[in-house]
Amino acid sequence: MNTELKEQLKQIVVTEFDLSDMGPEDIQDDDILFGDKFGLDSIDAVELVFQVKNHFGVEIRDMKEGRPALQSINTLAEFIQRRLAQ
Amino acid sequence: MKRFSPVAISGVGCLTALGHDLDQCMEAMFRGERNCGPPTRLSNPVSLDYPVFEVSPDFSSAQDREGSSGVRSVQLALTAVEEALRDARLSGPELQNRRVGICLGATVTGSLKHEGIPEAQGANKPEYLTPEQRFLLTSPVLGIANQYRASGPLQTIVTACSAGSDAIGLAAQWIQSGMCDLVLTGGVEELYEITYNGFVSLMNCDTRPCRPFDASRNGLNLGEGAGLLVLESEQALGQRGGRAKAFVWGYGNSSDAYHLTSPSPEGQGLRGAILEALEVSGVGPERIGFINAHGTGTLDNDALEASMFREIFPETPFFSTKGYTGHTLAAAGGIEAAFTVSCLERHHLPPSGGFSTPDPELPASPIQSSLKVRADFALSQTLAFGGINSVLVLGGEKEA
Repeated sequence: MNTELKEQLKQIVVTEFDLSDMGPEDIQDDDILFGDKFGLDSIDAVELVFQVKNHFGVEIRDMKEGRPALQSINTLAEFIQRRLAQ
Repeated sequence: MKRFSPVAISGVGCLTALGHDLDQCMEAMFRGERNCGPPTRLSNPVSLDYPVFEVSPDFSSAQDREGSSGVRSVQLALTAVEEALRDARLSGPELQNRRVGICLGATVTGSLKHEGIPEAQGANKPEYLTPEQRFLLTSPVLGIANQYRASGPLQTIVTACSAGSDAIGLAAQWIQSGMCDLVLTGGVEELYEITYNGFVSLMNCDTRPCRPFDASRNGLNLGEGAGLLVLESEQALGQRGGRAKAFVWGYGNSSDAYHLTSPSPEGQGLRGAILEALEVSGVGPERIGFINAHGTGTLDNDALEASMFREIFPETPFFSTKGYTGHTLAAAGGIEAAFTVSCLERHHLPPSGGFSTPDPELPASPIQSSLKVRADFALSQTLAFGGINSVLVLGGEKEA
């Protein structure tokens, strides 16, 4: 899998959500993003959808598509790669 | 918990994308009509991809009346009030000698519709009063009070999507406390940029006509309209020889204290509101003949409601009408209370709008075809942003 893409995503998460005590290295590839660990919620998920569109030009059209894609850095990276390959 | 003494509903009025009065709406619903399309009245929509349920333009002569000031929400509310009073066999002058309260749910008017004020003030323009005056004129409660010279109290409830139900619950308490002889209550909503663009941005809207509780559901569609009830004290009703169509038997309200927009997945808030409404009404869950669910068509809302129905009302038929009207936000509680009263009277439930395929992930499914039900009591349920849950128990008979 694309390590560079995953690193970029972790950086976006840390910067956009102001995870003050954390660096990209604190996010594991398969950590649940919208759970207790990072204190992120569904409003943050909408923000992440916006950032993914801005950075990669990949649109997540609705939450039916978004939920599985936004599970973790792994699922998001896979989703973006699959879309970019289309 | 103190028992709620039932409050008479003597008249009902409603208009939605289905039609311009309650009977038109009900008949169109039983025919399965879903009148939605791209928004036509919004000046600055972020997208036209998300269908909405608009009230067709020729809805009433109230548009031209003095009281409406050309404001759509006021026009919608006045049209529904007029029908509700006609249904209650009350004329405008008959309201003069009574203590008449008005308690309505609304989100757009009275709270959101203030565009132009900051810009005008920022530019220090002398004409900045104009948008402020317009803002004040957008209050449907004031519009109705002016039209009928109502003495008050007057109140607009702004608890988002549960505001219509909350208004009815509060209005019933005004009657119970002896504060009013009669209250005009329910909810009103017009389609508007802030709500449309907001729901689209939050990824809550479906690009297809919404499908509450369906396996393929993927969000809500917005709608507009008004639903009004005339609540009357027993004494006032008796004095004029009026008749109750139904009664508000109970009202329960709770907060999830969980999240700004998502309902608590464990459902403790919704469960609390349902159990409170049942307890204060003295009606056990087995006596609830049907449930008019909130059923917006979003993944979370419908999952939560289905799990609560499975838990508390395992055998009770339920349906959502939002597949026919869209989600009318603050009007939903008023409109759905009106539909519920009509279903109690007709002993007939419409098929759940937009539902065709049960979702294997949900523990309960709504009715797929119309159903004849002789019910003494029914639940009308609404959930709102902020984790607000509001539940009304409505019933046809006075003696429990």
